[in-house]
Amino acid sequence: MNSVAISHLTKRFTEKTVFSDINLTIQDGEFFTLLGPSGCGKSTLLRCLAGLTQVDNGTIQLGEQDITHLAPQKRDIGMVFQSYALFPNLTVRENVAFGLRIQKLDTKQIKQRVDDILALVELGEFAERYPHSLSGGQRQRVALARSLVVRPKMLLLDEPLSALDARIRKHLRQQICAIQRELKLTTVFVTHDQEEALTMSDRIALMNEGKIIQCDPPEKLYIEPSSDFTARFMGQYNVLDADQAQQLFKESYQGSLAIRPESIYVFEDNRQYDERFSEKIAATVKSHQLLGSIIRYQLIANNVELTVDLLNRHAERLFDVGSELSILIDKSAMRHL
Amino acid sequence: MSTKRAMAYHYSVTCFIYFLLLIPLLATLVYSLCDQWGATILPSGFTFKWYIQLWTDPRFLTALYHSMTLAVGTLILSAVLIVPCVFVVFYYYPKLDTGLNILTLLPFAIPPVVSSVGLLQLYSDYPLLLTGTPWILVGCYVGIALPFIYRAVNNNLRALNVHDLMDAARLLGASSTQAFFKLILPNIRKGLMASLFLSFSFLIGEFVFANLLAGANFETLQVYLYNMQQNSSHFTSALVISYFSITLILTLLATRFNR
Repeated sequence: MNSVAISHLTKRFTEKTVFSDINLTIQDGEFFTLLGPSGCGKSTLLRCLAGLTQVDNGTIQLGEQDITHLAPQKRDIGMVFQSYALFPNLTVRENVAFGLRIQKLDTKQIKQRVDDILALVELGEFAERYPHSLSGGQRQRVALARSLVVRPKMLLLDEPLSALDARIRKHLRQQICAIQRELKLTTVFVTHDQEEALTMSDRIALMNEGKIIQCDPPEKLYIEPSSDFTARFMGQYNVLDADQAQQLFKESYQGSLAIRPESIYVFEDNRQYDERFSEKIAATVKSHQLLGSIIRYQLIANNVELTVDLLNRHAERLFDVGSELSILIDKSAMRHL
Repeated sequence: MSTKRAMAYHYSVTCFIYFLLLIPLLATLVYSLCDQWGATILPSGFTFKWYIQLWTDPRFLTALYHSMTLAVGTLILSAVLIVPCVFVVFYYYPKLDTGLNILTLLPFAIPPVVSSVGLLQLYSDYPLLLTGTPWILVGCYVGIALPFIYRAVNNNLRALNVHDLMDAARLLGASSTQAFFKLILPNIRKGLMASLFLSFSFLIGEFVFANLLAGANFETLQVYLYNMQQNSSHFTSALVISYFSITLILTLLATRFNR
């Protein structure tokens, strides 16, 4: 069982505390994501798991073993870096075989395992090439193969997709997920991209300024943000303070309110609206933005600015800037923070 | 048409500069191969006698041997000392890099004539009685090679993503020493070799230190050349051409070997 238990973990650099008192449990075989804006401490936390950065306080347990002060060589942890970190003087095959050579396995066994893992990442035909002749996506797959071939207890991914272009990123994302599920490998993934986090993870820990703000499965994190920060970070949530909420609905509110952009509807004459919905509110289109399948509008309603996502379905539902329309808000989808 | 003319122009300029640079060398070569070139415009009497005289002189062969062993020995010692040092500073103590940088400027900033006075004072008395021995030259030449090797290795390390490579290697089970020998060293080899050739040609032509610190006790090629000034100019020309050819051949061989 390769579950991970992190308790009271603290890291300080000379004058700055990167994070303090972090407590997390990661299940065996789980795809766990550390998500947050840059500088929130997620990469440092990952490096602490790898043993590349020393912690100041707290413990890390991997399976039955306390690895807090173990050298990275002895942790049985694989890691993939944003910069690929492939060894430029070695071919793809030699790169992948590096860890096995260090373990002094016999040549035949090394060849077999390298061939197997290269087939898994679909790079068999590139075995004799050097890293500089590969594309970014191929390089990252070599890096993935290199860290998997030693059969680590846990895999760490440090923004592995950030340096790749959009199309390759999507493809590699699926490939990583498929391999991770096939090998049932405990995986910790670091990213600043919420879409990546939502599509890939079993569970996400959202971090900000060295603290874990919320740790939940993707659906829950998106639908039920527990704080202002989560709401703003996870989607294009409209976060209104009490005054703004009161101004919008003409009734008094306490605390702030999060409204997802897709839970605001434009009133249509021939439709029935049940009690879930608010009263009609007059609004003016300030700007719009085409995002493919959806159109994102900025509306002004009762002097409150709202982001509204509408499905890009009919041409007649394209509203020009300055159009006057009526909106309804699905109150059951609103979150009081 | 105009491209063709432009090309011809570039070509002729290049050739002219090459020719200009080669004149002294060609003149020396011709001079070393003729019997007499005094009162006439053209040289007279083609001969190899100067070369035969030079290459049968045991003093020349000893000087050549001295220069070679000195240069090669110095470079091996420099590589063994400086490369790990630069790596350790780069990887573990980047703050010390400024200091190392200033240190590497010293051999250039202080003229050899000045520093040799200091070296003479320090090393010509007990317990560090090194003056007149090759060892003082080895020590001194390591200092000369330092800036070349430091620059080359440092630039190579900068171009390499050293921190991530070391991290990746360590997570794959390699010790820092294994990672250094298997990954870092092969990747900085080209730059290191280039700096060693550069230092080699510099050291083999070094005269001031060789003359002042070791002098007649340990005669190197340059000191020998200087001492042979009284001899026939045809003879010294043969010496210059021989010296140049040796350096050229060694550099070409080393470059080919390094490919």
